[in-house]
Amino acid sequence: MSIGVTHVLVVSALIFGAGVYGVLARRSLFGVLLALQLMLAGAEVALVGFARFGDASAQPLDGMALAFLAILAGAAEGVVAVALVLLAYRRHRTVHVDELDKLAG
Amino acid sequence: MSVNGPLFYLGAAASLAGAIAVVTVKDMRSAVLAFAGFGLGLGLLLLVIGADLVAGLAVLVFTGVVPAVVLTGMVLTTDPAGPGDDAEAPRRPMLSAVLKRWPLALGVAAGFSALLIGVAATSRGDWETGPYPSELLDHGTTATLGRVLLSSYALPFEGVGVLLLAAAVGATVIARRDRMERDMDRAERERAEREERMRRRREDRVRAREGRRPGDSGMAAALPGDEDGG
Repeated sequence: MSIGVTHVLVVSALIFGAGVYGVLARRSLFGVLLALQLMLAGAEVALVGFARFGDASAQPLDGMALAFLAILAGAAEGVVAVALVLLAYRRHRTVHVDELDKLAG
Repeated sequence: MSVNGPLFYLGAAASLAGAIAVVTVKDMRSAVLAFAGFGLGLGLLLLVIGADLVAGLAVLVFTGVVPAVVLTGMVLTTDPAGPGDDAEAPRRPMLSAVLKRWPLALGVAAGFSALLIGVAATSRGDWETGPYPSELLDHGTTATLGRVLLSSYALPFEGVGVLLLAAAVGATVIARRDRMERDMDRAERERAEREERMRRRREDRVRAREGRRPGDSGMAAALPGDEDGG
């Protein structure tokens, strides 16, 4: 059976699911951040899959350009997120999500 | 030309194994390493699908940028007095790397994945496979995608450049110590010094009282000199 859009989408869904699990279950903010990047990567795999095999395969560069720009935006998001984690650590001396339970102060 | 099946499955297995390791490994340092492995698997997967430029960028970002930034953050937030990662938490040893609500998280994640796979499986017929341009198969997408990014997608491309600059500046500003934190630190230090002074004065007073208690004036006159010496 030749590889088609469904194969790529299944891989994408599984990577996304792993990211969802990590976001909900990880204790460390850094773990949550990595899991968020996994979710983003899952969506990017789906974009490339549609561009290569899906309806857009006659014009694949649109999907690939979107995936390209999304990866760059994800990198920027990661940098800002790490800076926020550093700030939270300095204010609360912890990076664990279950101990960061104060809304103000 | 179709996609190379074994290589596709290899890339899919590598990226999935990496992804699962990222969210399940206890030690955060190992999780970051697993994330780098995931990036390599993802790069292979995208390369096999035919998106070579995107694959290169994914490898750069997912095995280079993100692990480097996260590791730096972990170094800066590790308490020198004790381990600051997921593996051992000194305050609540009962909680491990994963929160107690992990079965719920697993259920939600499985539900999400099942929903997405279900959509992909049931609507397969709606996604017509169009003719893939043959020049992209022969020469790869890099040259054409680069031209497209700098012509029809020039504005988003520049926008991402501005976004990256703003993120770098913003991260610096956020991570800087602001005046409030400096004030808080100074107030904390002053409070500690004041308490220390008060404690010392109280001890002096107690010592003086104990010295005077024995009673006769000769002793009392001798003691202050004693205390000055000590």
